[in-house]
Amino acid sequence: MSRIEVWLAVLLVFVALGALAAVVFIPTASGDPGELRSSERVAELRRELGSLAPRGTYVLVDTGANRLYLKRNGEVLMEAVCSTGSRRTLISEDQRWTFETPRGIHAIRSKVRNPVWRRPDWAFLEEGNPVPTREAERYEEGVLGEYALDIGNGYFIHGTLYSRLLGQNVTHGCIRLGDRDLEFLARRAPVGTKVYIY
Amino acid sequence: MVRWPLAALLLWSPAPQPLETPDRLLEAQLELAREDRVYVLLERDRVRAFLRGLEVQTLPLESHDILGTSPSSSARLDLLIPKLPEKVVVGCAGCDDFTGTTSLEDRIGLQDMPANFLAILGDGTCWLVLSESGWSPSALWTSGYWRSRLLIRYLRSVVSGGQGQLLVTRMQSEDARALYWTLQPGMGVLRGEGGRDWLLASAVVAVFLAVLGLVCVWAAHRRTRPAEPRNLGRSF
Repeated sequence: MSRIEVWLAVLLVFVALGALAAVVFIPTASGDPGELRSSERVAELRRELGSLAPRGTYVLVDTGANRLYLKRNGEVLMEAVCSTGSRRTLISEDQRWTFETPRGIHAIRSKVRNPVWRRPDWAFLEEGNPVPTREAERYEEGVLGEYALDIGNGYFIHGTLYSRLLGQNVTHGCIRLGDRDLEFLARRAPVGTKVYIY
Repeated sequence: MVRWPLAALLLWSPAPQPLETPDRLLEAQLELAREDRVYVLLERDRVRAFLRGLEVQTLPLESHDILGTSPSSSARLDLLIPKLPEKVVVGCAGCDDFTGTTSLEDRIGLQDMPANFLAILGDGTCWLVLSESGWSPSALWTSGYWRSRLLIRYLRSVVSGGQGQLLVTRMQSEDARALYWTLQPGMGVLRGEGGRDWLLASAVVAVFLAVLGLVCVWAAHRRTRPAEPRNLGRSF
């Protein structure tokens, strides 16, 4: 046996040992998930976790994909393309707004038919116009669709004149829906319905 | 500029608390589910986002590798690198050259999210998310920006007795962007059943091979070294 063959043999032994160590280490990362899965404690925790999840009718809003789902006990009643916040920031001399749809859990507080929009300051600044001093100049009819569902803090689920922009992040934080979807939602989701936004 | 503060953050952050059993993991999940904000559960082959225990999003993983010995743990998300893109417009009422800010180009959508990013958790764990667009594992080691952070993380892991974790997750670029969109500083990140610990295994193999190489060089050098000439005295 030549010297090279001896070294090759030694090399192979070490490689084998290394591979063995690798095999030994791989299972340590995964643990043993099945060990306590059937225990009573796990079942109790799962029940408790399940009790937090919503029951009945609820609304899910995916702000990334711009999709709104109306669900009842997990079953999808409606899937709609919507528009959510643009996430851009507008700065004026003394104020700053970030147009983001608020994530988290909300609830439908009220429903308004044929809503009238009271234009906030940013709506004027965005167009390069001065903020009016007369309150009456702020009101505008017919731009929010047939229904507006109040989810709190000035945010609404409402209709739009710009249906071609549905599916994009273009709003000032409200959730826009097409006319048919808005009507379906307004009829099926009673006041108090939870709205989950993520 | 952020490199050294980040290094300090990684070196002095506390070690993660391991959740060895499924009930500990569920307890941590229950705690997060009581809050009104999204939390994510990182598993072997997917990331799931929950809100009040309700699963709202599932993103598949192509692979998930870990360096560290804790099978699972819970922590808050501290920092996302790069930062969320921002588009700021300064409104100017009555200015002649200001024509409004209602342009569609001002919006920020999923397409603006990074497909490769680093998430740093409150326990010091680094979670590197890579996708197919423009990045490869080799880029990880050739880019000084990422390499320095991961090297620091690795050293911290070694120094703290193997409690730290380095997570390397690969996913489709659309899913990675969606994950970045979902992640927000302060939210809970649960690590469930771990992924392949190939990094550790590779390190073991590499150490074995390195030792072997050194032994070979040393032995070969010793055997081939010419014998010391005897001191036969000075010759003139």
